[in-house]
Amino acid sequence: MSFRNYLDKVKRYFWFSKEEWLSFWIAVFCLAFIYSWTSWGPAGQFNLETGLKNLAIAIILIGLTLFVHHSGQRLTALWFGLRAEQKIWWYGLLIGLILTILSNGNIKVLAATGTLAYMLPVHRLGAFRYGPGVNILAKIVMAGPIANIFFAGIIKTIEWMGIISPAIGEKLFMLNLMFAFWNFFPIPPLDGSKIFYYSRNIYMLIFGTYASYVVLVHFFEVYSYIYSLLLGITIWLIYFIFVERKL
Amino acid sequence: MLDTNFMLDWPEIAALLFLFAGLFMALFSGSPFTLYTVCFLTGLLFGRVWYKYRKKESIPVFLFIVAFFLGFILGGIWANLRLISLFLLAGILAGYWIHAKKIIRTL
Repeated sequence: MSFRNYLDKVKRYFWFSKEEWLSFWIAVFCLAFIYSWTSWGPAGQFNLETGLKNLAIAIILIGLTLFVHHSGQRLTALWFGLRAEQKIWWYGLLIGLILTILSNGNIKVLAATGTLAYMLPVHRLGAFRYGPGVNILAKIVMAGPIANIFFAGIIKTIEWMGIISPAIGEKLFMLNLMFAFWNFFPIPPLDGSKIFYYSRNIYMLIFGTYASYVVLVHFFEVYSYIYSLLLGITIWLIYFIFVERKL
Repeated sequence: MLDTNFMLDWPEIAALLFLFAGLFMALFSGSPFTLYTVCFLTGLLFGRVWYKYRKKESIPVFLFIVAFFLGFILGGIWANLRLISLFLLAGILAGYWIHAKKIIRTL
């Protein structure tokens, strides 16, 4: 496929429909509410002005994060001649809200969307395995959390360059990692489930790499994709030797 | 010893779990406002379940809702029973309506 063809597909099919925008903003608002639950005033106190300000900031940050996640999946889907559509995961969204309220913000579940892929028949002509399969679906959904991780890396770099304030940079960095974490869970219809159904080995490799990145950043302040990948391969190897081979 | 067959008695077993879920959710709600909000949100959740299974397994769904409601009022005995019922019902109807009218399509 030529790059011009790809650009044309992006131009035609990338953008969200009216219904998708509605779902997007509902998800953004609810997730922002969950994310900003503990920021409605100083500890143990309620301040409406502070809360609304923090909610507005959370809406912007969550909006960016969700857009990056969805865009990664949509762009990848178009590459394969499919169209990705994100829908609200009703149960996840409500369970997230309930858990946040009951735990007073100690548990923040940021898993509220699932991805479906539809075939664009004209753009799949001549493709091996014409219809969408678990292989392609896994690749499409994988692009979401990976886009979030790369976006987090870009944000951190911009923060180090002094373009954005460390307070915002750190928040956005952590939020993207947290969002990717929740979406990696192998619970249908989250992204992790589709990768898990496709291949447990690939799931372990990707989740291991991601977990290594978080551990390296959080405990050692090492921001390295290469070390994370090496650790991820080690985790996969351990899983393969002790679990997968015996199944 | 109770003679239970999981394949036959699964709605009752699941209903028992919902009863405990309702009980603990109500017990963990610290204030009436939290209790009513959680009640409404759970209603929204049940509304979707009811819409999805309206044509095939509506009796088990009804059993789950009743069990949850029972657990919830047991845990929230200190709150207003009428308001709990009202919020749960409003949540279920709102959840059902959103899906029946296809206002948003969810997974």
